[in-house]
Amino acid sequence: MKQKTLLLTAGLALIFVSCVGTDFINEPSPDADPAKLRIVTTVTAIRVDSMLQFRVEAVEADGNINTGIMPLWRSSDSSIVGITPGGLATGLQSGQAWVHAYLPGYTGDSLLLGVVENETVLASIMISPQSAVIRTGDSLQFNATAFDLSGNVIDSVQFNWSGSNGMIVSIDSSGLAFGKSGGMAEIVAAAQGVFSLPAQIEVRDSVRTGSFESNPANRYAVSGSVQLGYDQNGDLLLKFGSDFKTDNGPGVYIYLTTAPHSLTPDHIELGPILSVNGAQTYTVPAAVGLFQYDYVLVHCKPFNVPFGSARLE
Amino acid sequence: MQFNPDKKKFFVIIVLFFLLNAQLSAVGWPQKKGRAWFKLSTQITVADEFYEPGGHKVPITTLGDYTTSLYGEYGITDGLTVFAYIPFFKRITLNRLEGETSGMEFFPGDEVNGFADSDVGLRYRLAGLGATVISGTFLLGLPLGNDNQKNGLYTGDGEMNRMLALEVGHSFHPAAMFATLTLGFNNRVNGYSDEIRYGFELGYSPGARWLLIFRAGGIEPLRNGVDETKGGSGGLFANNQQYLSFGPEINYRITEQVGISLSATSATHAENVVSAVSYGVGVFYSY
Repeated sequence: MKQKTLLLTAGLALIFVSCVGTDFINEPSPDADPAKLRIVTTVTAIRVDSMLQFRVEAVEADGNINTGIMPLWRSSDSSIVGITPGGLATGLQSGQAWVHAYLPGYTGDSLLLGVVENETVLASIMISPQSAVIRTGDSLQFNATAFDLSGNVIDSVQFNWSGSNGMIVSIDSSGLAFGKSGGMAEIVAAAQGVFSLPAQIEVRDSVRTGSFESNPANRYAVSGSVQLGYDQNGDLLLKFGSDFKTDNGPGVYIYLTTAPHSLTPDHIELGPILSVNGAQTYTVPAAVGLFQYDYVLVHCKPFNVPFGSARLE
Repeated sequence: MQFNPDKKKFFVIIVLFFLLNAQLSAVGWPQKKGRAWFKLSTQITVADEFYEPGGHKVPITTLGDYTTSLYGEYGITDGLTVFAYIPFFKRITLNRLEGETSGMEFFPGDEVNGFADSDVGLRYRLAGLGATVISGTFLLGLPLGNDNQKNGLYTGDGEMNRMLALEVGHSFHPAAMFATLTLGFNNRVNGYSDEIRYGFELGYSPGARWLLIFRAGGIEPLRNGVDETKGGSGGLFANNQQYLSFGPEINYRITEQVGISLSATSATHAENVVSAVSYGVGVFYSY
């Protein structure tokens, strides 16, 4: 009798010291980068009748560098630059041509190679910045520098600026670009028949919108509109529309994530939900950019149940 | 200790001893005047799935619910019994969440300990028809637990519900068997839906010390509450909870007054409740 009582008492005592364990989340794995070729030759111009051996390396999908790869080569204008299957280029006449390295299974790479008659003429143009992101309505000044074959700067060169898509970005004669609508465009400076490498510019809308959809993996209902954008003070705000509605639950939080209906490792937690229906606003941390996250997630944090998400367009 | 009770009398005592369940009492037999029955028990539920509002199971952070309670009945008269269910220690744990590949902590885990919502009530013998007894029960749910925990680890629902139930018990004497039925209406407030509660028990005593019970019961919400009610769609005290639970219980009398019981309960046809087998262990005493 005493033993049974002790056993029962011990069993009940266990209840009082039961611990909090650990569950593991099967995280969505990021997409692996495709294998790509990278031209490592940095020469931008050669003289007529001179030769240049191009070199390339491959960045494999696992991140390893392979320098022993043998790509295929092509010139965009074989009357200016001739190139052999082994990547040996020859300057044939004045002008510029793109040299392409390519290989099935790899993303190729290209380099703009100029051919000049002598050392002193304009051989290449560099513009800065080489890539930029601006918002619609914002301006950005591009600058160009001209070089001769030896890399010396040539002063007093008048550049002509152009953009690849005037609907997205416009650029004036001084190189001042203006973001007109969301999208990608290229900026090029040219002088004396020589073109720069194009600079990449992304114009982003200052407001992104989306609509909540319920998680198809369960029956929790989430609906309504959402908007992410900057206010007049430059703060990034997440605003739910008055049509927003979600099922209630314990510990429902709002997140910015990079995948739908999923709490990705790079998520940003904006805090507990303010209301299960109606308009509400969350302040996004200053370090977060407008286009850093593509999804807004309504998530039951303690029980790890994603109710639904909205894709920001 | 030796005892050799008369079979019929013993069976009636068995019924009184064992069939008084705390939460879905499907018992038609009130206590005799001056008689009492107590049970100290622990219910253990560890769940990593949840029946969402559509009735489908979804994975959740592992939740542990350990409720230690005292249930007691006392016969005020031969026909009127007062009873109380007091879960005096409820421990709820919620596991920590860690990314499998990143090692990142998604949720630090949580735990609460405390007093939980309790019940008090009266059972009144309405009629006795041979081997069948009909009783009425009034139960009052006391919101003594905590219904305001940031991660939903509530030990109470914050509302004082009132339940009226009709209980029918039938003995199959001389066979050592009995059956009970319960049908109740649970009126809930503060935005919670009212509920129909039902229960069924079938008991069999294979020997003087043993009693085996198969128990089934459930809740059907009337869905007349408010969606935004605290507890929400996913809490432990969620609104619109629905289930049909079932499982066996084994009781063994160590002495004439003291015994132990073991039980296991599962559920189906469920919404807004965790999905897991719940295990119970207890010791009971009567005089």
